Amino acid sequence: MSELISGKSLHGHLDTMVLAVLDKADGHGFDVWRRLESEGQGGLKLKEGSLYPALYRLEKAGLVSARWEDNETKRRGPRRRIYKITRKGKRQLEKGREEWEHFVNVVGRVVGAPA
Amino acid sequence: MNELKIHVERAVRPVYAAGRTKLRMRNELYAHILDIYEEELSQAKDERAALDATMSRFGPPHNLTTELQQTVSWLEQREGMLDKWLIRRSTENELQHAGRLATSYLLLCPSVVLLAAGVTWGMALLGHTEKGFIDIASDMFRYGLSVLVLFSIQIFAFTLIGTRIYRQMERSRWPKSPTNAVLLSIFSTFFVLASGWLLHLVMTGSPHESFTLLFPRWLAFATLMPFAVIGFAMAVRKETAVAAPWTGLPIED
Repeated sequence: MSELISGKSLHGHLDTMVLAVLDKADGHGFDVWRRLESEGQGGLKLKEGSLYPALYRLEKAGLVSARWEDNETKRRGPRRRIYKITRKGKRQLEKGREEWEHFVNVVGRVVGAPA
Repeated sequence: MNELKIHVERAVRPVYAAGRTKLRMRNELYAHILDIYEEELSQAKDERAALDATMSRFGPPHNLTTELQQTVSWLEQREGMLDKWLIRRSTENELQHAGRLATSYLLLCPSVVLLAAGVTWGMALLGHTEKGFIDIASDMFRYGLSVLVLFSIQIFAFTLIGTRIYRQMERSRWPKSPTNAVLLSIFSTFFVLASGWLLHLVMTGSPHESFTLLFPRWLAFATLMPFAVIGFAMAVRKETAVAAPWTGLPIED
């Protein structure tokens, strides 16, 4: 099963995946992206720009908070924003996990491939 | 990396949002696309191949515009629309900009006059006023037309004066620029006074009648107006200066 999971199939799950990544450690957008790729073992196919609308949605909903990184970083280009999951975000992540488990169990039974 | 900046700007510029939000989007997306580029450059044969791979990984700008737009609140979208309408477009000169704003007012105002006429006629129908339909229509036409023409001229003049004041402050070479800004604001005070008197003349048909009563109000308004313009220019100056490297990029509006 080597086919990549593309944008359409990921739609609706990206927010929960981002929360899951941030639950392990805070990070800026590029960092979040790399961890998503690494956890997905190269199986995700999503345009990287699409990560930011998800981060903005989560921030607007109070599920993550963000701050600009320190000026001292030596990399070139503009400063990045560091995202951190909030308590509300952690609760939402738990809810997302339960919903996903339920979804996989139900759909898995129907299609004959239980989790 | 102008090409990467342009790629980001193509995604962000069409978004209807406040200037601060768009600046944040630009900086974050640019930081990300630079990181992708660094990564690609370490693997690619040449810069061109790295750029192509970077843009492909990042995604097409128009798709991102739609997604970014959905993250902006309804109220902020309206703020963005108003900004876009008020700010001079890259294809306009100062006169065209002032002309566009004055014309927009000219087109909008008749509907306001008609609404006011409707309310007055409604009151006449209900017997709340002794005036007849013809009198009301005549008053509305006279007041409406004078307000329409004079306010349009004011909008035209203030847009030009405002742009000048803003430009003087943008250069910020003390003492010449602030002096020019103050001189322009004094000119605008006299302009408001003169146009107020003209409006009064059209409405009453008399240059003196009750103007002495109105004069202190006009003077207060005329004196405060330039300071409001200067205050606004100072408030937006920093934000505009920070966004300038982006807004100056040569892409279609």
